Amino acid sequence: MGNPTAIEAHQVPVEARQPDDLVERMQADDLDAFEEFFNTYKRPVYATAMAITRDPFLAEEVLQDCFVKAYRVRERLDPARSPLPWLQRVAINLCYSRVSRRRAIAEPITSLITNLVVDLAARPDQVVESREVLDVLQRGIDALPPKQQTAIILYYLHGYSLAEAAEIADCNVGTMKSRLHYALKALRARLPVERRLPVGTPAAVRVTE
Amino acid sequence: MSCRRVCRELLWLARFGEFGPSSQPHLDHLAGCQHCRDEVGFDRALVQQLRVALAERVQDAAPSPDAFQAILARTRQPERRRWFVSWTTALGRLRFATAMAGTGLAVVLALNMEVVRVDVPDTGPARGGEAVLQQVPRMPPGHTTLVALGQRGDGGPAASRPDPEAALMWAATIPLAPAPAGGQEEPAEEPAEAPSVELRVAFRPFQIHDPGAGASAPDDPDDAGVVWAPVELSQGEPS
Repeated sequence: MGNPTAIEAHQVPVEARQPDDLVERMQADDLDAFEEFFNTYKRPVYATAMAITRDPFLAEEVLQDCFVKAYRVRERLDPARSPLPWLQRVAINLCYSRVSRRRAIAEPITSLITNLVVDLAARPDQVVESREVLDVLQRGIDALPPKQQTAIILYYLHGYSLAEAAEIADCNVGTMKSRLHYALKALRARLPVERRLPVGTPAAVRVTE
Repeated sequence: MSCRRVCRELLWLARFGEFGPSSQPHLDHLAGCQHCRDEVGFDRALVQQLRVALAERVQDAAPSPDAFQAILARTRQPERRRWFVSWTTALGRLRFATAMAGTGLAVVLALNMEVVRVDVPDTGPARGGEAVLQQVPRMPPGHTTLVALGQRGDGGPAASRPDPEAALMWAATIPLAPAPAGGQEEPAEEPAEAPSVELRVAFRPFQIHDPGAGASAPDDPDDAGVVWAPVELSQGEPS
């Protein structure tokens, strides 16, 4: 779907290559191994926390909690499997346990769309429009239910496959598809009809690109 | 297939990259339908914008350089144990405990109560068809709940002797109201007073009969310790 290089430019690398015996050395109380473990997985975990919380301090708190927990339960980590799905799941749960306490009330969709339609006539400039669309999407992402939000972050930000995203979210692939579908549907509904077609681009070109 | 349905399936296939040989009808439709092309095109543009929006959230974001040292320091500390709970947690637990206690009480009551139904013959429009005695305590094994019906003031067998079987039989065979108007036979005599049904329930106390009580014991051992609790049911005026 889309240009692969353009997509990868926006994605967080799923995982750096995991050293073979990293978890085993960590289980043997090797602190250097734990540091390597942290450096290997900190970026995707932090990106997830940032994408959900949009707060660097909160994201750092989540990151620390997540790795402290990983160290404390290191004996239970399976050396044969990547610990990243587990780390992501812990990070997501930590994020939502914190975000739920401070989540702002989402702006009603109808008023948002009305404002944008009014703005459209006042500011037809394409750059401004693009910025507005991104802002609408940011608010739309914030307003999504946690499960749908998690789905789009795992699938569209991290670029996990459907199966990997489903494993992290602890659901099956069909459920993951359904969550993505409803998330996109909700985001589509936030955009007024006038803004749904990018200006100056024939539809046929977009389909065949 | 309708355009709307094809469009919905096209969006699904395009989102998850599931186009295959079986998707040829959808692609054929797409080639000839401007509306579907617009919808799929918009969906692709939306996903592209969504990726940009998500990337904006994590742009130039990196944990602080001393994050690992902070983690290491925390791992060296003994794990904190929560000796207290927040008031919201306590309130939640209290609610749960209350709900469980209420449910338990309801179960206990339900297991120890039974509804005894006493059918009264329908002898007139104002008498109703049945009387229902609600919530009689369940008797212990070996004892039966006794229910007796009698007619007040006529000195019938149920009023004089608490024989439940005889009382029920008697109540079921004696009409309590005159025959309805237009009937072939006139009633033998009008009742002086509208009869009322008296419902008697016998509760047998949980005690063991002492055979050594001698003369103080009742003649019929089945009647020992029976307490009669009369309940009057209004039957209304006969029509």
